[in-house]
Amino acid sequence: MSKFISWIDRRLPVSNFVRNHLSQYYAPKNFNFFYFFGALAIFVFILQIVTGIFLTINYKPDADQAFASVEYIMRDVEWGWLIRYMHSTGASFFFIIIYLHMFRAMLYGSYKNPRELLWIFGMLIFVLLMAEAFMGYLLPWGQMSYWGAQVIISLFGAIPFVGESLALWIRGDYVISDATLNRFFAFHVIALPLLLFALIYLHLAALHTTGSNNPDGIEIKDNKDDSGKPLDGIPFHPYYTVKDIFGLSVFLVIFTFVVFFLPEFGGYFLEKDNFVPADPLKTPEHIVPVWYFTPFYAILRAIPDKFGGVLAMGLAIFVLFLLPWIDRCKVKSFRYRSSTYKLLLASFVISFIGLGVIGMNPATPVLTWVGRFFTLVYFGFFVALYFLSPSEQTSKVPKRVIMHE
Amino acid sequence: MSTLTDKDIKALQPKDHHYRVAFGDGLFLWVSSSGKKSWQYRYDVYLDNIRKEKIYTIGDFQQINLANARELHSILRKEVLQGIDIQAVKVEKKKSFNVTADQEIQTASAQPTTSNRRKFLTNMTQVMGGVGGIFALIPFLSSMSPSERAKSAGAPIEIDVSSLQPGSYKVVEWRGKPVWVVRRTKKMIDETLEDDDVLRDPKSIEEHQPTYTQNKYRSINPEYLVLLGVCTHLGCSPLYKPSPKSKELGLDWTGGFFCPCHGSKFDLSGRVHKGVPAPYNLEVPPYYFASDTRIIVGEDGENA
Repeated sequence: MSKFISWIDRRLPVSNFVRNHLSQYYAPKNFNFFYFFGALAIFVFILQIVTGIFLTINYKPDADQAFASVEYIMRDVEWGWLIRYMHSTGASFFFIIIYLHMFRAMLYGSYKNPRELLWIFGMLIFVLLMAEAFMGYLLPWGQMSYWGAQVIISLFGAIPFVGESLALWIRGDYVISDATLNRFFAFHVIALPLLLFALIYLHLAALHTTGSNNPDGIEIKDNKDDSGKPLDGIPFHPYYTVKDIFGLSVFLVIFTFVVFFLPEFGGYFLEKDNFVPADPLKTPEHIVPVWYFTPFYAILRAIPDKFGGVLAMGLAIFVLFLLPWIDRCKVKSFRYRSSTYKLLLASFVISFIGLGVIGMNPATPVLTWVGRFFTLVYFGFFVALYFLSPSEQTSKVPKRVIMHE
Repeated sequence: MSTLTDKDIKALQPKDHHYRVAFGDGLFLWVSSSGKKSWQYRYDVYLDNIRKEKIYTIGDFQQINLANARELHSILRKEVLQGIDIQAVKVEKKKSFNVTADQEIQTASAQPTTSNRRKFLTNMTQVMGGVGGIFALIPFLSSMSPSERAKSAGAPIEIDVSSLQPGSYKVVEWRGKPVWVVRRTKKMIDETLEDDDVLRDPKSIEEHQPTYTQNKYRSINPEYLVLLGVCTHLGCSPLYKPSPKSKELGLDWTGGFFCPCHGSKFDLSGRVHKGVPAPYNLEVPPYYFASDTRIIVGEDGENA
């Protein structure tokens, strides 16, 4: 066996890779609950790829056949319903995981020097993931698929001068049609997954270059023993592989429960209107995007100007890319930051969730005003952070990580 | 024959005069009086049956250790046995490849024009390659534009309005978009205002209709309203809400169209309200009356 391994190693440094990235890759020993989500995101990504491949075996990307082929998968294909529900539930869980993963980075300042690039790769993954989910949602060719795509593509039409031709180019027709469905299928099943794969690789490569941050926001590489191992680090394998397997088990309990008992999740994961075939002549009474887009959708609706709304929505995502430079406080973890920061972060989270709830509901005047207020809080977080963070009153950061027994 | 190792060779001290250490089959280590150690290969060539001894310098000990020297030596030895003039080959190689870094720098400084020429050609190749790459995108990006078939699908359609009752409306598909025909009641016609505070563009100044419908009814015949049922905000299809004072739209609602997506409001002529996301009045498609009850949508007819 060892002869075989050395035969391989002379041709491809597999043992070296395992050593550098698993058995002797040191991760901080104080990881907590929030550190499950990176590994879980990779799991869900693979799940989506696998279930997606099996869905394409029976799905037909044709405006006349798409809706029926999805129903065919649900009713006639053996286990087709399970594969489809795993894919649709997987999409929603992917966003739950990614939002928590991003929130973790905000809590512990994981986007700060030296991990800015890691954060940017992560943000690019987030944006691509939104495109991937949006295009995937058109494929069942239901009413919500159709009108949701109509609204989102029209957003590009709001861009001055080039907007209308850009929207036409994206649709490939004057309205959402078979042409649009076909190209969205191509992007959804091959173009974006390939890009996502490349970006996930870069995200991990950047992570393994700087090493993980941790809940105390201390660089474990600053405290090494005589042999050069970080004093507060433990090998990723077996310690964190075992921890992640435990996390995965808990995740799967929740995930499979939803797949089996609540696959539509009361109309949040699969909207009721999407069980009606797309009808270009009839808009559903109440168009809402799937829940994971609603915070940004609420920002769009809050601005009483077409281009302004699109701009605000784009900015709401773009501003996150700049977070490493907006937050100018040297201390990473919120544990050692001022109560002002904690208050700002809390109001940001509340506004984000609030916008999400508003985005799911019809645009009544009262809700529109509440939406405007939360939009203000959302952007206010970044403005306040930029001006307050350099002179923030932080408490003393410990030299070594703290274990909470 | 010497049994020295790399370590031993390193420890060899220079003597007053240079000396050699033999490693067998003509491989020697030459140690100069200044301590410089280099590998040599001493071999014989026969010219007209006269034996002649030649020395080939393999390289410096600093760069080539014993094992490597032995390897190079065995290659050279094979070549000599095959009758190859290794000395000549070495000179040839130096000429064509500029083997040492020193020589390369010398060549570069001696012939600046060659170097600049090379730099220029390299840059131009890269730039032209990039330009070519960008041009190669054109077919791919263009293939995403509407196809000829999609473009030609926009032929005019005929709508028969003889069965339409006053106050009701009809939806027909034209170019994949909904076209509404509303038959106004006498009351609706009478209550249409020339100007209203709640409207953004009551006089239809912005061009979202053919000129022959640029009036307060936005129609050719006030009795029939023809509109493209696509919200000018984000393309949803608004709902026809003709009755005033609705629960949903408030007591000041005077009837019109309401977009369920983002709450844009339009009056019964498709004129947009102020303070809603939609920026323009609803679009009026080109149309004309072929007879009293037959409308052709998609052509201007004699109106133009």
